[in-house]
Amino acid sequence: MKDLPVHLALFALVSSAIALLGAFYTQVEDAPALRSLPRRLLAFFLGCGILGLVLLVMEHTFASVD
Amino acid sequence: MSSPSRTPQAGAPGAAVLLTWFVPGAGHLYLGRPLFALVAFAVVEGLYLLGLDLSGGMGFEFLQEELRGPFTPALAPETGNLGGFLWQMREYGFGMPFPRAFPETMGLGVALTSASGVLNACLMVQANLDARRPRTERPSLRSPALAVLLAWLVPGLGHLVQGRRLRGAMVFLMLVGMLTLGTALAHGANLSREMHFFYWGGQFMAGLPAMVLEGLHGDQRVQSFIPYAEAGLVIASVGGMLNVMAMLDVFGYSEDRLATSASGTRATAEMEVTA
Repeated sequence: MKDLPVHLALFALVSSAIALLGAFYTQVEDAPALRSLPRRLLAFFLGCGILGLVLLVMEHTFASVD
Repeated sequence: MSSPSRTPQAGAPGAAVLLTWFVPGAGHLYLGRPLFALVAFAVVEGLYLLGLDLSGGMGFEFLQEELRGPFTPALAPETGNLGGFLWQMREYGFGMPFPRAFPETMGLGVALTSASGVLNACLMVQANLDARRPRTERPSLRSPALAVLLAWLVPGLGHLVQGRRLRGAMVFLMLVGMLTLGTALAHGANLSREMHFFYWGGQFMAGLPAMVLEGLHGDQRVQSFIPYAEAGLVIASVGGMLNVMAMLDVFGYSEDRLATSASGTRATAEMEVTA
């Protein structure tokens, strides 16, 4: 767990790239694409957070070993 | 009042693309461009054959025993040239039932067979566009397929040739940065196709930067524990895969501009006829 901040920083970097390319792909003009970036990032983080939570619950429920 | 007349297409786009996928140039032969077809066939298949020669046809022997199935090699970039890929599977397959040394030129060989696949994918884009053009219209050198090829070769270059400098610079910095960071985190271990067959395919989509990095750091032996090896591998691979999205963006923009200029030309011609 001690390198959690590094993992989070790397995740943030990859997320930024995915959100940026997603914005570029859907918007022809640069300005609206860049304006939509914070909203896209937030949606991406929330989506990944929910997915992570579901995975943790599944792991705890079906795969935990005492 | 004159009704807008539909200009006949050169051929069925789907058929042109499928033919090109199986045999490079066949789509253009079908569209009545034999010279282009011949050159395309020679370049794409020449690259594949040279790659096979340099790698001894051992490209799919990189796959570990448990991954050798009928569909797993199809996830490699070579699949872009389906004819070449099927030929390789038929002639060489997964090699001998015993392990043997790879030739020294293995890296260059598999890079060439993979490049042939990507080049043929761009040729399929060209065949699709040429099929949609009227038979009488001369093919343009400012083709979206060329922009897509440039976008693969260097992330951001396709945007740059379209005059979208900011976007090109951002794509270049982001994707080449991810590739470089991933390579640094994995100490170059991510660049080995032998160790990471599928991830390598993802990284290959970043074009020349991936090939240059592999040339510089690809042969390094892993001598100690690399704490962020997997993170580096994933980051570099995602960087390459995101370039596919950048290539699609370049294609969409080029195609729109082509359609706009074509409809403008048609409208002008119709106005002249009406006048």
